[in-house]
Amino acid sequence: MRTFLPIALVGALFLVVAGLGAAFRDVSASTVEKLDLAGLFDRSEHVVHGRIAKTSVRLGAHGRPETTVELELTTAFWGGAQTSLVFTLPGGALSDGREMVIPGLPKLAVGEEVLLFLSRESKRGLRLPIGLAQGKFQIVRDEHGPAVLVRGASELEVLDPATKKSEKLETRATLDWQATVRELERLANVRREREAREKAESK
Amino acid sequence: MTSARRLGLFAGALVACAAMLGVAFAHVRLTSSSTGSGLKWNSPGKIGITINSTGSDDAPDGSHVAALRNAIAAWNDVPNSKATLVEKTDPDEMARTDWESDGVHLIWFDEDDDSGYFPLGSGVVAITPVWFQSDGEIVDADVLFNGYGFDFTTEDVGGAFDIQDVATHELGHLLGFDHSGWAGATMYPYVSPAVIEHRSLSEDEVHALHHVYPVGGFASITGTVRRTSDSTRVLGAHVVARDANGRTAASALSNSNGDFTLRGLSAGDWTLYATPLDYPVSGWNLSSGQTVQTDFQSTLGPTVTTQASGAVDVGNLYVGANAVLSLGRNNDHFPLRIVRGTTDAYFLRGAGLDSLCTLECSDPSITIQVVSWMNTLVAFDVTAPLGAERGHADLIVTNSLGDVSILPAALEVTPPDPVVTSVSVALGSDLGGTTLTLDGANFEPGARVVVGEHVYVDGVDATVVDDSTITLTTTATVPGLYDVVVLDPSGVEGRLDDGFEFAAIPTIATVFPSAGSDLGGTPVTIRGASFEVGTLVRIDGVTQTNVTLVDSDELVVITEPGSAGGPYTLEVENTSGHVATSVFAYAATPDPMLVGVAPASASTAGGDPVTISGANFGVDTEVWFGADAATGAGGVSVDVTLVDANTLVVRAPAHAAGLVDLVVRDGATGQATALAGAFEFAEPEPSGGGGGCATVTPHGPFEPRSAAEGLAPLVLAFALVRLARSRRFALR
Repeated sequence: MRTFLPIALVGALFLVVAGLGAAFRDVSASTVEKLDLAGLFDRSEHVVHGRIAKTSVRLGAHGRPETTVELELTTAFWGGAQTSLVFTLPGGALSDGREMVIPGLPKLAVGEEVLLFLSRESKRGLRLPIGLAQGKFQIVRDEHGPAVLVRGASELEVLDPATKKSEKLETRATLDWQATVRELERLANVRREREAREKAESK
Repeated sequence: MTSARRLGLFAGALVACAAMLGVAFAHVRLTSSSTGSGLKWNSPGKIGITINSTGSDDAPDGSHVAALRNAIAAWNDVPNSKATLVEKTDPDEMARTDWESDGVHLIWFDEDDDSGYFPLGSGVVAITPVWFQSDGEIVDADVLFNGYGFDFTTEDVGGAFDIQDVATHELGHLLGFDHSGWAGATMYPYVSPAVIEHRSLSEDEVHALHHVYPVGGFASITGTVRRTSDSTRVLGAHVVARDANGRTAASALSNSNGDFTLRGLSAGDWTLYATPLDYPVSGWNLSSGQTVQTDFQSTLGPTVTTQASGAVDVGNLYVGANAVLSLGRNNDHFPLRIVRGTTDAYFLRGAGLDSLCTLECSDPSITIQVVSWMNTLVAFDVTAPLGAERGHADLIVTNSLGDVSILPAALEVTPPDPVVTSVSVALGSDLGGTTLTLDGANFEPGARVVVGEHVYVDGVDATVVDDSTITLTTTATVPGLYDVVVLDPSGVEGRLDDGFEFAAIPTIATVFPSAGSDLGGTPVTIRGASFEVGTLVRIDGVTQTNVTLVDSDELVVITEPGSAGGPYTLEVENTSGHVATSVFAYAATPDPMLVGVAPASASTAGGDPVTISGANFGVDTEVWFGADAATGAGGVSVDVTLVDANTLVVRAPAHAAGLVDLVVRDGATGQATALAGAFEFAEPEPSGGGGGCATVTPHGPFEPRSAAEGLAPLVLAFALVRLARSRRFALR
């Protein structure tokens, strides 16, 4: 499977969050769709940060596996979820060893801390991370502290602002998770205001 | 291609899911998450593929079929591979949409998210759900296009995805292959509208087939990737082999022990290198949960010689420390197409790309001239010589410290686009059989020509005569106006818009009789092809009102009155306006009429007297035994004795046993009449004589009058037959 590449999302993260123009040049030109962070945010029905609490696989309506994921929420940047969000992805491995894989679909492992941009439900109640692997960001913390990290499926790798001693890292933009949070909150406000305005205009 | 982009702090920049304990194979295979088994079809020789006939609503002309057939052929055409995708063309099968059934492996455009796999905004262009057992045996796989969210094209419509390009990639998943680390591979994970370079397989996919579905033996190269600094093993290192010409040839990922096996190789010399699987393809693009470490830099290894089969162990392949140098991002467009004999300008993104760097191609015949270095971007010109082979080559950047980053298969050399300037014939029958000559340029051996749903292949049903000429003979095709497309084996194409039309063009083989009374009323049988409901018949411009369509090959007309003379033009016009012509004449004399024959049978030995009854016989009347009643063709003529205008007497000819038609024709005017199955030849009985008539006439002196006597009942019977036949003509 191939996907539209929300490279601009990553670029936007660099630009908006870290404010690094050089990094932006790496990623600003979207290959296909001009999906920046705002665009990705607008496509999502849920933008959520949390930890994967549980996954279970069952045969779905197609007679094919579907994986139900329970996300223990830390923050819902968008969408109505409160403390947890349960959603279903296509694919997965059944207990008898039978399995369905959709190439490119990211795996969500129990215990993982993630930022997810989730699509609305399909006609059959399934969701997908926007752009599949690109719609999942893993947050990694190490023993040094809150540290960071967001990893994009594409441009962004695992980066740790708590250990900036690395010469290599000094040449790199590092993401600040809190700054990312602020940007996501700002995007939520923008979207909220726009939708309210559109709703008022439609009356 | 290593760089500061990789972290090194978290588990050595480990992009990891569940560690895979099995062998990491050349290219990348889809694997079972529970057992690590590589996915494969256990009966790969006939993997049924069904192209849903509805296709894409963006290509309502049905052109998706040929595009998908070309995608299928890309995999089937690889020699020494057992994998064969067999298209199922039964219309009922092609109407199926139940992709989830194990019994059908469908290529389907999901226009309404019926699958449930395409929620709006998902960004997913197409998917291939692969359903398998724990041992890796694929049970079912289907290619689903997201017609709900995206547009698709077969003719380079802006903003739409090329159906053939996407399908070729997805069929790789269907066969059990994951995304490739090669920027120019078909299994490269990203696609943009207008990209068509993934239509043709790279050597990575060829070796994938040779590895998983081999016919015969292949060589392999094994080894272990280790860090120079501490000899630790590198997991998920991307190990690539180049051939003696510097072309990218095969690849592997090292497994969880750092071991790699390059499989599916032929005899030859191979230069190895290891490079981190980071940009533009990373471990995140893989589905199998393989561990991928990227904390090292691209490092050249030894050159290895393989025989036709057998394994060569290179031992340890040491890689250097990570470096602040990389080339290629996934928002660059890959592959970079280099047209042989031309210079093309490109730029790539990256890191550490300063003016002290050098940039070269792994194929030394391809020259690179850097225009500018901008640290995060390098602009350059690439020139491929005229004789450069198709295929992929690496780009290699080296900085002033000697650090290296290699971008595998970034360049793809292709010939120039074929150009189709004209087709010798613009219109042909939907039944096929039209010989076409395509004129143009840049036609190369192995070219494929698409006209309608059919793909004509050089050496099979088309011939590349030279670089400017292709000939082919059309096959039956649904009527319509079609582009004529020539595809090079590299996937690039040339197109003549609306270059050829298939139409239900009527043809006339016979008109019988070829003349009729100027008073009209003559039953005329027109034999030919592509007759249809609504077909018009005109004689000398006069539309005939009594026309019966017997079938697509036969019309029967009861003529309107006309002016004696001719021959006049007889036209058959289909509803599409296409016309076939023949001739027909009007005579000032009444049509001969055949009422009866007695006896109605005779000896195969011939010589039996036969009396023919009817009307309007004359001195020019001919009698033909065995002539076809519908066409007048064939048969044996006999000498005729004209008794009167209503009676002829002849001697039956020698003829093989059996029922035959009888035709009576005016040799001067062409007017004729016939009775089907009117006469029977039988083997002579011991007692001698023919039969079938009330009167048995012995051989001997011929007495026509006596032979004609006693025939009244037969005359009546034949008249009834004639009447019945005439009524059939009148039915419409």
